[in-house]
Amino acid sequence: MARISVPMGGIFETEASLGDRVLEASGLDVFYRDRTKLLGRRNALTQALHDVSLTVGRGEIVGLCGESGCGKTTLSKAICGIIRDFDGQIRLAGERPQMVFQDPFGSLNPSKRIGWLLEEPLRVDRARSWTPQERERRIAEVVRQVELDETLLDRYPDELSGGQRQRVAIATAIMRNPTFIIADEPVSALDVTIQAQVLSLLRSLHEDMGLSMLFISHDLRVVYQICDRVLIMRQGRILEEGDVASVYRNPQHEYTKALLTAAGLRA
Amino acid sequence: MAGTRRSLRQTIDRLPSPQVFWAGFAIMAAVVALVLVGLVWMPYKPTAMSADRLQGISAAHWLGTDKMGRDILSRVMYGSRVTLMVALGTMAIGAGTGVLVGAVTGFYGGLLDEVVMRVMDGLFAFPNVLLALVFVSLFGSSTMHVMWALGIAFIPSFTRVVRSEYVRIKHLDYVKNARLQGASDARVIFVHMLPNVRGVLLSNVMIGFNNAVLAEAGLSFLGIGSQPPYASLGQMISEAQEIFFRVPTAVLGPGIVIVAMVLGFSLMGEGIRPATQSLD
Repeated sequence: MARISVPMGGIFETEASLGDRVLEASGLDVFYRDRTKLLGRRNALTQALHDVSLTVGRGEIVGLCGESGCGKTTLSKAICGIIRDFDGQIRLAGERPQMVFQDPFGSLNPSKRIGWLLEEPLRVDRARSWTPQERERRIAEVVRQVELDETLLDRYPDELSGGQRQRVAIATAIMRNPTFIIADEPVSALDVTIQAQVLSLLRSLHEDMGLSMLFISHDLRVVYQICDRVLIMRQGRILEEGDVASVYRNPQHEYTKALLTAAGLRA
Repeated sequence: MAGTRRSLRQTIDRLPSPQVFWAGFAIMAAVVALVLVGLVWMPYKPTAMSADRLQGISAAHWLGTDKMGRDILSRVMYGSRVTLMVALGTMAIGAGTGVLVGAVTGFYGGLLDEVVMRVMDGLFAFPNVLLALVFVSLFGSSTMHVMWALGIAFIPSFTRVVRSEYVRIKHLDYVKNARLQGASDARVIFVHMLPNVRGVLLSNVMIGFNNAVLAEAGLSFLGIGSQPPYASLGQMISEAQEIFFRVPTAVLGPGIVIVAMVLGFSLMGEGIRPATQSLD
């Protein structure tokens, strides 16, 4: 459906001083309107986010859970500045966060070599310019970090497996050494064994770099494996929020209970 | 570092029908060879008249002479050059402008897109030949003017194709990702997106080239464009109609070159088409 977001007066601030937090979002509302106007009649608005507030602490992995269409992706787009039309306030401690997308077959440009794709975040870095030597060194470093084979740098994305592609996508996201990234269903398109590898990679990046993450997933089991805190979303609202252990052990909301039951985590 | 560098040759061999492509390529190579040889050597000056009129095939005149005693082979070589240049020039103008306009309007959309596309629809409504006629009657008949007229007439079709590709791919994650990384709009449009349009663009250039060859030949057959005594393939066929039964080569010579150009490019286009369709 062709939808456009409705212009509103939200505040988007980067490089804010947030203390021990990397993200502080409060009172977010986002509306959509169908693009097609029939006979000049204004059609109804859809509200994708209702008064959503969340924070992500330094070095914290926050899970965002909910069924498809609940506003997870809208929220992540607002946070990384793709959607500019929102009401409320988004404050980030650093630059706009990079994203790791769900489908590694769609998020890598099919006509560029892997090496080129890895170099791009450094070429277009607005914060500083990188000399060719610095770029080469940084790429080698990140390639080691994400456990990617150096021989793949000359290949095209369609010559890589799904897991290798997702490693490349993660590598481009952390290339400029960010403090905070958004991972939008990063393992949903992968086989279960590859899922485990990519999750442990994200886990180790979190531990080694102190990387904070907003981890979006519809899979409560995956969230359990990697996240410190979890937010349950439904129909554009945050229903429940808390430490993974307490939410999973003692869900307050019926919807959360249903999700846990569906995931086989609750009898 | 070990890796796979995909050469052009390898890319072609990965096509579903490389034989078709190579067949077209061979035909085009022959035509281009004819033109290139004509640049450095021709048996006679293409405009030089002589007393040996209406001769058949001989050692002195491989394709015979026309009613003014001009060597047909020399005129075919010269005429092929004119036709090829016009077709290439037309493609450069039409595809170049079309890519630029289509990419920008497809990427940004909105009011600009609407306005530009309605202008293109208007331009599209004129038949190519009619547009060329108007152009030539305004600015005078010359090869250059025909090239410009055809080039402008080709802009809308390229704009449409490129625009629709941009509309299709601009919502893909890799485009979003490039913007998120901080690439400028121009960089996203031309560095990130354009290479992914090349397949569709290439097969349209192949088709457009054929149309340009035929349009140029048709216009010069009607006496528009290259003026006598200079040769152009369509004009040669037009002039040779009345001597067809005495010197068949006067029609067949230029005719075969036109067919070869169109066939060659069609086969090359046909050879790459399935690959571009399966790209996404």
